[in-house]
Amino acid sequence: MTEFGYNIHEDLMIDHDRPSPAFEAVLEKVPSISWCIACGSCTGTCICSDQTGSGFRKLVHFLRNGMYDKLKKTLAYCQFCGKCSLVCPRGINTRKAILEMKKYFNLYSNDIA
Amino acid sequence: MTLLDTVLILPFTAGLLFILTVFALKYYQWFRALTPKNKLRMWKSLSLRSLLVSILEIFRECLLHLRIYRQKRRLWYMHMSLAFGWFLLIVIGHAESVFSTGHIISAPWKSVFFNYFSRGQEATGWQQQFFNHLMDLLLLFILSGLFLAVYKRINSRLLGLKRRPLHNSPDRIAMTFLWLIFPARFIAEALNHSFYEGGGFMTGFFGNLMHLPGNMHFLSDTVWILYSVSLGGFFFVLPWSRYMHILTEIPHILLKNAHIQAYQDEGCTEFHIHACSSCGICLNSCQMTNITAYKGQSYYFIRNMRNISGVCDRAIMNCMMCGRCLSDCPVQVDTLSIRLNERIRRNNDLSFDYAYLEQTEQKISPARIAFFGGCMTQLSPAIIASMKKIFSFYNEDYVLVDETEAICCGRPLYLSGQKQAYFDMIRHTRERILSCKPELIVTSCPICLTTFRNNYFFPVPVMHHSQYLVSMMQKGIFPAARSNVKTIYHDPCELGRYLGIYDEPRQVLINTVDLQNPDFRQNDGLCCGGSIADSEMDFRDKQEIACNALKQMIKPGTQLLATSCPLCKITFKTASIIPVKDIAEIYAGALPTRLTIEEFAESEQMMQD
Repeated sequence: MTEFGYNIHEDLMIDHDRPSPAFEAVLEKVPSISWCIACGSCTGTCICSDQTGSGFRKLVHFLRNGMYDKLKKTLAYCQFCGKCSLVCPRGINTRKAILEMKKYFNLYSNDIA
Repeated sequence: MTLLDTVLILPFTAGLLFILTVFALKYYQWFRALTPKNKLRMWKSLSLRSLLVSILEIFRECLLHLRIYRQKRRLWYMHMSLAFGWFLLIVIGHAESVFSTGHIISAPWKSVFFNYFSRGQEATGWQQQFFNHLMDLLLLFILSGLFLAVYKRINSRLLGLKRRPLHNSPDRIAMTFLWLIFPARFIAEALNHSFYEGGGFMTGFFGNLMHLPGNMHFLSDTVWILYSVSLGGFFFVLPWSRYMHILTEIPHILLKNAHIQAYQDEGCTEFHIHACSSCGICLNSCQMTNITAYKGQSYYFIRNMRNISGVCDRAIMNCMMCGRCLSDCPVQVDTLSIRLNERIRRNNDLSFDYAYLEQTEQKISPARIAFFGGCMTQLSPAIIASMKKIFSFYNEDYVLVDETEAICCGRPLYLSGQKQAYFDMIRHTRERILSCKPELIVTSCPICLTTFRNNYFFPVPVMHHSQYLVSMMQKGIFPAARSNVKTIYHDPCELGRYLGIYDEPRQVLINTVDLQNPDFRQNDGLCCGGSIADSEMDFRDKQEIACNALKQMIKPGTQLLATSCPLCKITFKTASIIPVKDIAEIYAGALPTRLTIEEFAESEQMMQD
């Protein structure tokens, strides 16, 4: 087998069978979150992406795929400035989505590993 | 006292006793909820002089409603005739009773049902006649206001309200009882005078006109009982309705004059929310009324805060916090603080982790001026470039604090109710700004400026860039060129209503462009719609608010829209048909180019060649 120098990261593997109740809950409150095309404008403008590598696109990715540990960690970095909502070409209400995610994990923090 | 007399006074007296007990209990409870510091402040404020000031304000605002007079004259007449008219009816009714019986203190029903108890007694002197006519005049005064109030339910535009408030059930029931009181009194007195002589110019005239036979006497008694029932009914529904404001406005004014703010404690918040008269003026100043069917405006917010059911999250977050309702409110209910408190109560414990800001902090070189653009200025690099040009022109020793590593001032966190996170954030931002040891901090963002002024407690002066430009102009260094571009200036909410900075941006513009005045300016300035305080509204609604604001501001022939807030600039730019610029860009554009010695020598050389 040819070695390309890349490894499979177990924790970054996308598993569509993994349920994401948080995504369902946030989607209900912020339907516009489903419009995300992962263009990365939000991450490009995010004021904490330089230091932490986070961004709204990443949050959506983690949320969709049920990667809650990473999501909770990344959510805590958000400074809530709202630049992402101003640059989003799809007009997603990113601040509300972030607030709803935070509220969800605050409420169900004990239930979710 | 006959059985009929007892039946007559019972509803009124029971209602009066009930409402007095409720007021006493509620006020005691709310006063107890005040913090000890505020209680002390309250007692200290009760000096003779400040009491006189408060009494004058109570007279002007609770009875004469002068703040409404300044805004909408017809609406003012409606409110004033009902409040002041009813007050005079009680006072003069009591005076009439005192004059007639000779007792200064008498049972309240004696004066309220004076004409019922004095049936058959002929008016003996001119004084009695005078009282009869005066009481009729007052009743006519109130009935004219009542007519306007009824008409307002049909067509509120006549009274200057584009949108009338939709009341809930307790409000409607209380209002029905209130509307019944005065016609019932009028008919009762007119019927009285149809059986007995006397009466003033109105009740006497209508009484004589009716000429009812003696066996219809029961009609008069029935209407007197209806009058008593409507009074009693009104008193019984009052604690659950908006009419709590009638008496609550008095302690509200006392607290306000003692400088006790709604955000400081729960007791004061209770006084604020019960002092709201639900007049609906805020509905008309709110720009969201036109675009959203959802009821999140101050009127509905305060009403739901009064109710046991409370306010839903969506209604609390769906507000731009522009402050237009607060500046128009005739009672000055601090809706913004109450809303913010409610947001903090719900969202304060959300998780945050800003430790990364400590690890990655860069060293910023020391400079005399620290320029903090803020997140929104980052999205409009033209403002940063203009400020650089301006600073270089004035040979300032400056540094851009957030040019390479951006950091937020924390206000979006605070406005969303995440107070803990906010205070953690301002600790980092404050340290970073002060690390360059500035003598002056300049920011181009009014949102940052509000936070800096309120919570940062910098040891050095903090200025908006418009103030900095004016200070430079006062030194005698003016921009060279003044263009004839017809410009209107948009007052940002945070800079205007929050910080009261109206003149400085105008001074900058007067010296650089042809400044025109829009209809909505200064305290009445419109919000751009992009407010960071509203995390609920979607992109389209924000755009619609921006479009509506532009329609109202831009006149034919306007060539440029100037503003002094980067967020307003960005929001308007997406909706405007004319160019939108920040005052820094306009000022920098008007500056003469100052050549360095090398550039000068180079240009001389080119001329010679």
